[in-house]
Amino acid sequence: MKSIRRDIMFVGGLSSALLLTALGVFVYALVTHSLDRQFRLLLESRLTVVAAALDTDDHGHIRFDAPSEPAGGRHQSAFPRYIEVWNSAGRVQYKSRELGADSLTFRFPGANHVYFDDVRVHDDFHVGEMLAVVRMEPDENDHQDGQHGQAGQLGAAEFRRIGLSGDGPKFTAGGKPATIYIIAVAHSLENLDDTKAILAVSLIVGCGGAAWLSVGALILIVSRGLKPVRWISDQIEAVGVADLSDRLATDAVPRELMPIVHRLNDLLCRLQDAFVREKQLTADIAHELRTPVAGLRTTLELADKKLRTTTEYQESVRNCLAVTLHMQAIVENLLILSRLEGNQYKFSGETFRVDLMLAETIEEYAAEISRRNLKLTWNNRSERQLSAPAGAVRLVIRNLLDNAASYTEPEGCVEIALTEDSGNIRLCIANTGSRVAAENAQRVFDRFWRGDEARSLNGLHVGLGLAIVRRIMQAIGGDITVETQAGGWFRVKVLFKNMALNDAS
Amino acid sequence: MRILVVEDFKALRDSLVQALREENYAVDFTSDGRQAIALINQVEFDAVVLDIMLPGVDGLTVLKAVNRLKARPCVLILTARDTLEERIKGLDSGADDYMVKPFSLSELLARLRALIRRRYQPTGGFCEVGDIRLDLGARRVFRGESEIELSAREYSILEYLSLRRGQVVSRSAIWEHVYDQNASLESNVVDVYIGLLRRKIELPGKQRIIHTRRGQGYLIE
Repeated sequence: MKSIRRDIMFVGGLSSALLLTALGVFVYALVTHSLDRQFRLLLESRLTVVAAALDTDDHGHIRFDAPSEPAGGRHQSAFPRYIEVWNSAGRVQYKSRELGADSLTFRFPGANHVYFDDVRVHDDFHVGEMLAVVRMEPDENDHQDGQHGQAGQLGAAEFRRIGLSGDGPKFTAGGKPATIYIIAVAHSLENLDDTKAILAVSLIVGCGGAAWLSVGALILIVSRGLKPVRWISDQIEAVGVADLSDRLATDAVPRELMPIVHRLNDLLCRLQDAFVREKQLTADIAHELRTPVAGLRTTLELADKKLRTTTEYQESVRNCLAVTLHMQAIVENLLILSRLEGNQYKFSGETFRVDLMLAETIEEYAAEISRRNLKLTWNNRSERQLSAPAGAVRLVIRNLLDNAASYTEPEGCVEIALTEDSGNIRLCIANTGSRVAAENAQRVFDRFWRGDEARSLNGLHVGLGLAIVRRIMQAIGGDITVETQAGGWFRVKVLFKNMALNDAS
Repeated sequence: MRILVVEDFKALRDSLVQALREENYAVDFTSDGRQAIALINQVEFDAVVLDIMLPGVDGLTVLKAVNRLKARPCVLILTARDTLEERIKGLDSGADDYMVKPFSLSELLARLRALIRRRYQPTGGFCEVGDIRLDLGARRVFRGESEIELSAREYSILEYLSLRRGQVVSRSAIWEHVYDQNASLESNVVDVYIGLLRRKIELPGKQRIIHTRRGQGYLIE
């Protein structure tokens, strides 16, 4: 199952670990680069000091002038412990005592850089070595004395590197040849390496700790973040199934979750409405079935009370049959209404003449109309074709005519009009003898509502017909209205909106 | 006893009317609330079996009209409404009993008997007049341990007079309570039944039980 907590933990943990690792590597690289650079600067400064102090004695031996010998004295710290000097031919000219039998690595430093290398002395002792070319310019005075050359200058004292070529560089100074030495100084890398190691360990520990801390923080954040979700869950659980009037409280909900709570409350409202409707429907059905069941039971109990004549039994059976038909009508109409409300009917558009359908349906009720001596008039007759579900329209017409034939008083009037206007077809069926009060006119669409004594007429009117008709008209995109008028007229107007076809046939 | 059945469901109404007539009640019926009000204002009924949901005006409105009568019949509400609130509302509106559909016919008849009995005699299921004892539940009459055989109509007249013991009851009142609207009025039918009753319940040489008040009616003491 998908888990928000797990996803957040995984993505957040991985991201923070990667971020912290990258940060650690970056910091390590930055600091080590800085340390290396600092070390080189130190080495360069010492190289400069050593080069400045380089001198030769009368025998051409290397010696170091002031500020002091590298071996000791008050400037000892400015001097590196490891110094080695070669002539341009690569022959060792000087080596500091600390080097002992070991040697620094000789090579030409190149034209434009100070050569830096990591070499090992004393078996496995790392030192950083830096080499530079130093030229010794003959000192005029010294030369006259046959003594020393001018103190060595390291690459013209600004680290201007001196190119070497052939068997060695040949320099002249004031027309006299200069002597070239390759000087190397080295300094222990121990401190530097230790510092780097400490840095690495610190970063690993720090970043690792930070990663774990961030995971902990994530757990806390996720836990706190999901708390309102759990709260909403508890609230939803507290909403009773039997009573959906409870709503989720909004005062303690974070702004981000407010839309969810509002949607849930809307859903609860709709659910409550649906539940109320269903409960009402169940109560209505139970109520409507109680009376016919009571009729059935009373009739049967009465028949069973004593031995009766055949005629009396026949009467009882007829009564029971009438009640059964009434109950059947309730069940069938309820089924139709239920399917209509559940959108289970698939209406498919057909093309037909509604006037012909109306005429056929009137034929079905001709006997009843004649029996009750009703006066039926059909004033307008549109022959326009209708594009609509024929079965649904037939059910509408049959229900309306059935009501008119049943509710009109004996010798009363039924008026039918079928008109058309700009794509619409209108059917109006009106009858006299209505006992529906004007204030109750709209209640005729309520389930099981009966405006008069219809239930006792033939047992087949159950107060669902107009509810079904309205639902059908809604489903096919039409409209239905009713009105009462003086003289006991009850008028039903049905609008088949934009369903008329252009060509009459 | 005369009973009005107000019920709009034809099959139930017909069966109820027949069942009550078979119990020797005089029964009138209607399916309409307005017509029910008109009837109770015309005729002094002993009991009304009343549905609530009626065309015209509803049963509770009919009940209000009943409550305004001087000689108020007892009312049994017979309805499909079964919630506690509706039962309480019906009884608080003045109904004497409340039954929910569907119901047992025998229970309905028993309840009606009890209601009518209480209307005239607050306690017991028996009524004693002299040495005559009426078992109102079983609709039987005894003198001592021996039963007096009466026809249904004779019993109805004796029961009505006995329940109104000490009161002068007019011939028309007896007529109204023993016959329904379907019966054709014959001027001396009540006198004929009184004569028959006297022969069956009064012993020769003993004090009369049914007294005639000339120009007023009959009296049982």
